[in-house]
Amino acid sequence: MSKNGNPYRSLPEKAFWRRSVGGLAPGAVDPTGVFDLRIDASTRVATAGSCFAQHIARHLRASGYNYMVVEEGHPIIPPDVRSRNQYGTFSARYGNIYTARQLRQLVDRAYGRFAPQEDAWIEDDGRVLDPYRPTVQPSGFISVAEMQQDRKQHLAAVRRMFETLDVFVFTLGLTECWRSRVDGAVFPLCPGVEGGVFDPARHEFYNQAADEVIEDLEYVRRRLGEVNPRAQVVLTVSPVPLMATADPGAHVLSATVYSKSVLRVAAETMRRRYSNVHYFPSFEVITGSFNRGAYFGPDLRNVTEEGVKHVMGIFLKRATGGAVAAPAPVPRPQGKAAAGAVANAQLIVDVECDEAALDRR
Amino acid sequence: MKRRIVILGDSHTRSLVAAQHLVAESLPDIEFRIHWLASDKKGVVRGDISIEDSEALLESLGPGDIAAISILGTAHNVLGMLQHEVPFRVMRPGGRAAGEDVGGELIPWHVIRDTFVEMGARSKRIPKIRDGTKARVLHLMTPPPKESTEYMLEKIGLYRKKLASEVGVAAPEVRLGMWQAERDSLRIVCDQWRIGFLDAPADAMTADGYLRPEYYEDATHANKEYGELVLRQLAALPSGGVSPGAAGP
Repeated sequence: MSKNGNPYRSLPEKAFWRRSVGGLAPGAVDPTGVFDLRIDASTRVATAGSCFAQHIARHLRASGYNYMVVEEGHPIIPPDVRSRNQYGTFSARYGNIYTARQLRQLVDRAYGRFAPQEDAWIEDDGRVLDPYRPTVQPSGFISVAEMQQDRKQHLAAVRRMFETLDVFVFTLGLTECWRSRVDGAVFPLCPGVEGGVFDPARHEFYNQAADEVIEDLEYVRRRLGEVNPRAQVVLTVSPVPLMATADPGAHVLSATVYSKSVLRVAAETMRRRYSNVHYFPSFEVITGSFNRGAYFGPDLRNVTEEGVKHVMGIFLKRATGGAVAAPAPVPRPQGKAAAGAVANAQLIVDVECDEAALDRR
Repeated sequence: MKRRIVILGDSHTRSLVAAQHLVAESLPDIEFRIHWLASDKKGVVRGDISIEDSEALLESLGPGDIAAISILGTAHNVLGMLQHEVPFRVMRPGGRAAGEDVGGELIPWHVIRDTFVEMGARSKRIPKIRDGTKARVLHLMTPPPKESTEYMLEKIGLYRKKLASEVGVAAPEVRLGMWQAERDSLRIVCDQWRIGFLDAPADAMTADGYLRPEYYEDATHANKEYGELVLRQLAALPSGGVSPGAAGP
């Protein structure tokens, strides 16, 4: 090696901060590292995860790609009613899946390996909720029997999805969750927030460590491979901060950084270990200092449509090998009237993030 | 002066018109005016009163009179009478634990009810009727479905043989569920419109909620004996009508 030679000399532009971040216009920043997944119009792409995953679903659907929905709702149901009842929000009607443990549990429930003992929440007004997707149907179910039959139908759709998808995009949202002391079942929302009754004798706080998230993701990857050996997995980390933390003594900002750091480590570990697992840096696009916070709304939590477009522009460019340079215009969520910039912003980013219910007092 | 009850609606008004003579003698203090609102569907005009004339009629009513509407309540037939190409089923509140034996995709009750609410809430005619009269306004529920699939097939076969033989009629449980969901939805939209709701006569229903066979007419309508029950229901309402959204007797 010559006197002036060093390993950095041969590195690409993206390895250098000034050339790929500090010296670029915000819209030109593309933090993608290794990402060799390719999709085309025939690739069946399914999504699940936290509320940010809904943006990915929305853009995929609008960009002419084969966004897979296995639980669309019956054709006689009008689009607005389907949308309100979360048909098509994700590939199946599972609602938000915030944690890796929740995803693992879904896989096991779908294949009959686990049936949580806490089966149904019956509200004071008679509504019956599914504890594992309490917000998918705002008016709830009319009976435990109806909820169970809908669940059976739902889990069959989930199996169909896992067995026939080509690419599974999972957005990791949280490490914090609430767990049954009885059988370890985890809930997407703390019992008592959007339904059910919190009982400290039955429910406990559980904050996943990095090795636990990795173990859960490895389990899901293995099970998915058993039923669908060709499946590719894309992991992303939701940039949306925690609405609230239940970690004793923790500040919500520090808890957010911890949670996202754990998820980022887990995603990277999975990518490095398995050739069919890919990491896409939506978290970095939204939270990176290069955009000076511009991709967050006034509440510093919700992501602006501009930020989502930046993410999806890069995703589609990378995943299609440049065939699609920018996402197509995306229909805005229906059923809300826009009035003023704040309402517009709310409209644009208005995805069903039921974690917001934690901050209702 | 006679109390006036004006009924404006669609084809379901035929059974009420036919029943008028059955109640004339026993209800001498009530003047019924029953009309099928004229509409032009693909060039075929049906009905016996124009919108303008119906508006004038409504305007002439006083606070002690009743304006009964029978416009909505037929969507359950449109969506659920024939076997859909994607078969579906509904489970009813308090109904038998029916479901999987019927087959097809489960549409949760609240989802199908919301579907009917959305369809009903689009009506512009009903708020206009409410605002165009001093009388208490209420909406009538349509007759419940018939349990007998054979009867349905026979009646549909009279004018749509192919439909009856090739498509088939949805299972009775499904048809009943759809009617009940629409009934619930109509209560909701009547509340939203601040008008009353008059349920189908309880005497006309079987224990399970189907239309009793003695009230059968064709596949979707009830006969004049059913119409008589409805007219007597209306006549029994106290002056001032029913509360918004309230079920009838």
